[in-house]
Amino acid sequence: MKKLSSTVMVLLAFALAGYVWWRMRPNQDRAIVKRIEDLAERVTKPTGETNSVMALKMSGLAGLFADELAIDIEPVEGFAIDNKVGGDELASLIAQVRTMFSQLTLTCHDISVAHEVPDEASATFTARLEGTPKGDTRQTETREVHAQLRKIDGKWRFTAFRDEAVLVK
Amino acid sequence: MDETKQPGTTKNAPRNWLARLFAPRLNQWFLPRLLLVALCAYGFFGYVCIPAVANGKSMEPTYLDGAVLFCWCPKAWFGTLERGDVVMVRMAGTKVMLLKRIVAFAGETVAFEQGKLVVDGKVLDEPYITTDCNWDLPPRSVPPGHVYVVGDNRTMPEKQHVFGKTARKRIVGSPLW
Repeated sequence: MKKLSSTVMVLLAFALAGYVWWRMRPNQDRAIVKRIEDLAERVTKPTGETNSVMALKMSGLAGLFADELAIDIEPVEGFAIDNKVGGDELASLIAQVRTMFSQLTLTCHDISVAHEVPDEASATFTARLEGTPKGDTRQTETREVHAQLRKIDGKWRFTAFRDEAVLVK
Repeated sequence: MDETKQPGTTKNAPRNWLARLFAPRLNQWFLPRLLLVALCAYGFFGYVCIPAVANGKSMEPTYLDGAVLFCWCPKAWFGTLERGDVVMVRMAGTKVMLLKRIVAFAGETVAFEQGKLVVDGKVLDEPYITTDCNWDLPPRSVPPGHVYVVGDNRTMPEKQHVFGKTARKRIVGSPLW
C-alpha cells in the first residue's frame, strides 16, 4: 500500500512539474499575451496619475503599433475613429482620450492566440473599459475584440483591431 | 485499519465523517487526496458551475448590481432552455459574460411596441418587468441557431441597453438562483 501511494505521489509530482513547465515556457503566444497586457497597462489611468508617469506610459505606446493599422470598431458615443490610422496617430488619440477621463481602466480577459502564417498572429479577447469622464458619472464598455499582430523588427506589433457584436438588435 | 486493531484507545478510535472531512490525518494519502479535491474543484467551478458577480444594472430588479451568482452550465449543454430563462452569454471567454433573459427563439419575430415586447405578433406576458418603458423597435426575425435576449431593466433609453440576437452556442448556462 505504501509503495502504491509513493508511486502515485511521484506520478503526481511529475504531472504537476510538467504542467507548470508547459504553462511557464517562453513562447510566441506568451509574448503576444504580454503585448496585449502591456497595451492595457498603458491605456489605464489611475486616479491622481502624475505627469511623469503619464509621459512614461505614452512614450512607448506608439511602439506597440505598426506604422498603419486597420480599425473596425463600432464607435462609442462621442468617440469615432477612422478605418485606417497610423501608429503614432492612434497613440496620440489614446493620449488625448486619457486626458478626458479622471480615471480609466482597460482590462483584457480570456485572451486566446492563433497563428495562421509565420510572423503573423491573431488574438481574441474581451476588453472591458471602465472610466469616469471629468465631470460625469462612471461608464463601462465591454467588447469582444479581435486583434491582428505582425512581428516587425523582432517585436509583435498590432496591425488591426476589430470588435464583434455579441448581441445584435 | 488501525482503529480495529486497537479498540478502546481514544487516539485510534473511529472518527465521524465531519472530523475526517475537516481534520484529515496527515498520512501518505493526504497529498494525493488534496490534489484530487483541487482538481475536482477546478473542473467543477471552472467548467460546470462558474461563480460570477453581477456588474451592472441591466437585469435589475431580478439581479441587483453586485449579486453573487453561479452559472450552471449543464442547463445549456442539454438544450433545456425555455422562454423566460435567464442565461449567461459568453464573450471571448467565460471571465466576462452578459446576463440576459431569453425572450424569443430561432424563427420567431421580435419587436417592441410602446414598451411592450411583441413576439410573433403577440404581446409577451412578462411578470418580471416591474417598470414601464417606452421602447419602440421594428420587427426583426431571429435567425437559425440564435436566440433573442433582453435585460429586465428597461428604464433606460433603448439605445443604452445592450440586447439582441445572439448565437445559441454563446450561451454558457443559467444562474442557479
